[in-house]
Amino acid sequence: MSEHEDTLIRLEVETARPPTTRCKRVIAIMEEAARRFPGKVRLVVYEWGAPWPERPTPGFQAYGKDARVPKSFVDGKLVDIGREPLLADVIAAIEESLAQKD
Amino acid sequence: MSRRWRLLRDGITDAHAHFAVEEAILRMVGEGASPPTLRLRQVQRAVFVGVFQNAWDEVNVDYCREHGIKIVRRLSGGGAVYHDLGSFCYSAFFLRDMFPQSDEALYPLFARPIIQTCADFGVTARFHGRNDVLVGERKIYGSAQIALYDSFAHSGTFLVNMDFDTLARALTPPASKFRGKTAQSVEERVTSLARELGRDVPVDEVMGVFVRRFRDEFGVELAPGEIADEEQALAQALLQEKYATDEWNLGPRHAYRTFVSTRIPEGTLALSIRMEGGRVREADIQGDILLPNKDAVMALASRWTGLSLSEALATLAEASLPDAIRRALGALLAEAEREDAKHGATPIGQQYDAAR
Repeated sequence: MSEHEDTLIRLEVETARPPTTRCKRVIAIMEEAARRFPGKVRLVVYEWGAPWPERPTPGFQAYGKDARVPKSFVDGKLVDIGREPLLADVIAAIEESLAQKD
Repeated sequence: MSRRWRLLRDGITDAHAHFAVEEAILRMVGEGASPPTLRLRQVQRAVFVGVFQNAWDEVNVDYCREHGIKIVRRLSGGGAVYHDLGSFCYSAFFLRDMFPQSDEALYPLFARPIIQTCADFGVTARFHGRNDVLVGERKIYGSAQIALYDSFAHSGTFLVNMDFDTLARALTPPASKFRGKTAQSVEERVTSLARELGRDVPVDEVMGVFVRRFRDEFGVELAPGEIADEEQALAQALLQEKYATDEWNLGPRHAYRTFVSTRIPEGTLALSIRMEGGRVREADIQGDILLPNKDAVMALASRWTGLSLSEALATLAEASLPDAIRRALGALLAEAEREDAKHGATPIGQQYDAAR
């Protein structure tokens, strides 16, 4: 992870491995949210049971062994679990995190 | 609650195929394409590893390979368990909203038909802890759960006639698991219906009793059915992509420490590296080399944290080092990389950077 990446707000989603059709929708929602905040957020996708591509946020890790999939997080805060998040909820969570950082 | 459930006895005994079918049903129930299902099955000799476990730590992989014992990582958590045709497992697949109870409360609920089945054979069993059923102080049944969207699977394993000798050889749990406990081995911690009764019990007979108890406990109709074509196709895909692969079943040996050393004219140089998921988590350059900038050389290792060994190797090119040290460190990292290759795969996952 670069220094620049480290300063971005992290969106995290955990899907099934391999992702189901619904998981792909969750990823699409998170990508759409990320696109609305260019240069401010980045998205990491974890797959249930697969090694983490990078160390998740502490908030994600707190749910790491929760056997409900999918899970969506913004800046380590849970947005939704067990279902697709609403795009509006993800955006609101990102705005809240950005406001706290300012 | 839906009163009509499918009863599946598909006869699949291969452990990898079994788990592929399980996940296919879980997914299809969630899609609304499959009915609530009670699936019963036995598997040939296999070790089921919990999703968060490292098979290399928990299982005698070499022994299992030599003796044709398959190793498979399941979707749910919990510990490693040995299976053979002397035990049976069941999985109940349903939409989560069919049961108003909390996830935790489902464990004792689904244990009831097992406890009743034991009683029908004259054995007194009790629910214990979070998800076990014990006879005396020994475990005879364990269970696990997994949720995928609206779909839920509760799975249990009931030991009927178990080959305890193979079980003891196949599993290698860390000694810490037994610290402070009376039982000092897996074999001492578990029992079977046959062991309790002092005679062999046909697994089919136990399954039959269990099905009746399940039906009565939940007040459902169990209609014998088959695996649907769609489920079969999905199971085949999951088998090829996941359950038949070492990558999934064994996982990378991603948490380990390696130590390599070499002797050069300047002295002895050694690398101690802790790897995790194919990345350096901690590295330490040690040795008795006499160099004016020894501290800077030693500090180089701290820059490798989070890098793969190839990336660490690349940093040597730009480091201010005497050539002999650079070559020696390069050789050590290359050796560590060869060691790493034996330990398994690199991390899997997708990463998206919206900033780019």
